[in-house]
Amino acid sequence: MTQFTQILLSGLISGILVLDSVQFCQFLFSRPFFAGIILGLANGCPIEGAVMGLLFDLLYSFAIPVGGSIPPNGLAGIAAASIAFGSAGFSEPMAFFYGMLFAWLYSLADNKIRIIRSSWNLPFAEKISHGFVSFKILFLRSFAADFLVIALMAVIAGALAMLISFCIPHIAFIENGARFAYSFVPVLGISSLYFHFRRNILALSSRKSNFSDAKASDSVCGAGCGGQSGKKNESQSALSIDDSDKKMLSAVFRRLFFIQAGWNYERFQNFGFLYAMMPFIEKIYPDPVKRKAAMLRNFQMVNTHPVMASLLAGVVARLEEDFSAGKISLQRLSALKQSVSAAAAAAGDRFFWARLKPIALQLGIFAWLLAGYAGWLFNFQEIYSKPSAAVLIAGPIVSIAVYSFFAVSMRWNALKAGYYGQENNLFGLSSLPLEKYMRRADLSGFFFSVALIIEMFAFFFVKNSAMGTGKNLVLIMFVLMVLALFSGRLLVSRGIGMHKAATVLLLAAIVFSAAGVPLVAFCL
Amino acid sequence: MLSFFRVDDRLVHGQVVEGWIPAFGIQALAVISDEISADLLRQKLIEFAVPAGIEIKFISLADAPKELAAIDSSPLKTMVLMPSMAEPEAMVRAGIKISSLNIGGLLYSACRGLSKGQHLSVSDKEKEGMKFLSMNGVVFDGRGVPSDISLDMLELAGLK
Repeated sequence: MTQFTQILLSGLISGILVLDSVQFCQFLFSRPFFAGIILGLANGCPIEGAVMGLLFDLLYSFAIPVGGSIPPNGLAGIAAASIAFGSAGFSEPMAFFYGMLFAWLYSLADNKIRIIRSSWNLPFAEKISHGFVSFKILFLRSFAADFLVIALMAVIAGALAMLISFCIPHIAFIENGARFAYSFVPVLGISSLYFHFRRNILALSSRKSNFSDAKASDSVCGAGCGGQSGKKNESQSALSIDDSDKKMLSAVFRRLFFIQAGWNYERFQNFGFLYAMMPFIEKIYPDPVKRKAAMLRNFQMVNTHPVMASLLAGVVARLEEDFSAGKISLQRLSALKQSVSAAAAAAGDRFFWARLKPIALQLGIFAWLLAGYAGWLFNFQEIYSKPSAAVLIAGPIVSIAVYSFFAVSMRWNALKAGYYGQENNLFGLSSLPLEKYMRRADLSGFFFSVALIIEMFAFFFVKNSAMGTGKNLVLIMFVLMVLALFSGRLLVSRGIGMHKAATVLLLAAIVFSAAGVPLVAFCL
Repeated sequence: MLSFFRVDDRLVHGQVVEGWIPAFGIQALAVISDEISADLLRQKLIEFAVPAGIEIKFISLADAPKELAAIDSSPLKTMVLMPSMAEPEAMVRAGIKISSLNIGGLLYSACRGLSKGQHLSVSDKEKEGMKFLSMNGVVFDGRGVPSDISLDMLELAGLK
């Protein structure tokens, strides 16, 4: 394969994978840990692709898309990095940092696409009032926009990388600085995991939880609710799902995989939300005039976590039923819709983005370790035999399976909980096992981070004794490693992202290297 | 201790619990809104979103001067959340000093001169409020999470 076809193929692959990150499903096939292997294969470097992908994922573990903010995109990063390494002949460290640049550039481009999509709202609302609605074309346009932008970016990254490696000679001090900084990227990533989960654990142990069922049900009881806990209430109603409800709920469940299609900065997830609500709306409002009004209402601002959007859909359906029966006012409906979406978003962001996603990554790393591969840590291919393709792919598959299992089952359970929710269980929110999940996630995330630190130090000593590194050098490297590990404490407590931290580390390393410090000797 | 003021109609959500609370070591939240302080159900929903151990208080505009003074002298680092531009305006009129105001989201309320296509959009009424606040020395900081780049709110509102 020539370099040009490799670059085009990479563009195509990243274009397909990027759809999973926002527009459709969020099974995390777009996570760089997985994408790295596929893009690495396309560029003739599956192992390096997998390693760089894992490092992107690790470094960006907590760069999460909360409430419409767009963090650096690891997929764009790994696409540019594997092209630069596999097709343009960059060294692995240079390719990784080159990728980081594109991870950041893509987040800027994504921001622009989401602003542009805002202009689709009014024409679509117009169509709703004329009674003609097709989501297909709109979703295709939205998919195409993300696909084209990242594919184009991959091609530009490839062309620029080839130009750079053709025109600019290797500058030793930059190479050495990058190599030094790159060898500390795993330490930074592990450090960020450890200090994030440590913070959560400390908060857990020192204080009581707000997520308890008892608390939710005690004082919010309206007329006619006894001392029932939310959980009982949910299971009782769950028994009474009749067939027509079930059919409608499963239709909505399927549609909710498109919740983020058409994401725009003016109304966020409104296109996907209206699309998901259609079966409910058609059932509640047989009258076309009322139906149109309901559609326009559900086409307003929606901002919540993509998984927890299921709960919101169920709750809003229930509120629409109450509204059509004259039990609540429109104003009350939208006020409650907004409060529920914010509460659901907070829970979803906290559990799925800030806990389950990094934990699934940790499990993927352990899958690699169990299969006997730890070469990603210190880049010591010299000592370790090359992992097979099956071992390489096993890590990301474990990670995707764990995440998707929880996400998909929560989508279904939250939809039911929301639809059958009552005020006394906070519209189903407190009937979901979120408190339990959150606590277990914090404990396991912390435990896995400690295990990763132990793994890191163990392999550090194994590697250096196998290579016969001098004692003084090992000591210096050890001290640097501990310092890098503890830097996470400061970064996490100040809310400084690891993208920034790694950039600063790179620049500092290049400056030191230019000043003549023999950094290469201290590479991990 | 009053740590900082934020306007966001979503009040407590992911940006607050995963962004600002950890980054600034926030220990307590105060929601200032007449509507919410009279609505027990919405209070419960908001409490659900607050992480374990963070205290939350709901304060009406009338009680704000007294309550904020009490918060300022308490040891807990507190972040003040308000759902619209009307609350900070009323507070400054009541003599409360706000030096910097984070604008995290003005999204939900309808009719705000749409199609600017920006994350933060501003209605005419809010524009007036911003003009007043800015004349009273309030500096705006338009960003959702600490790591965002701050948007120039005055320019966005066409006040520059």
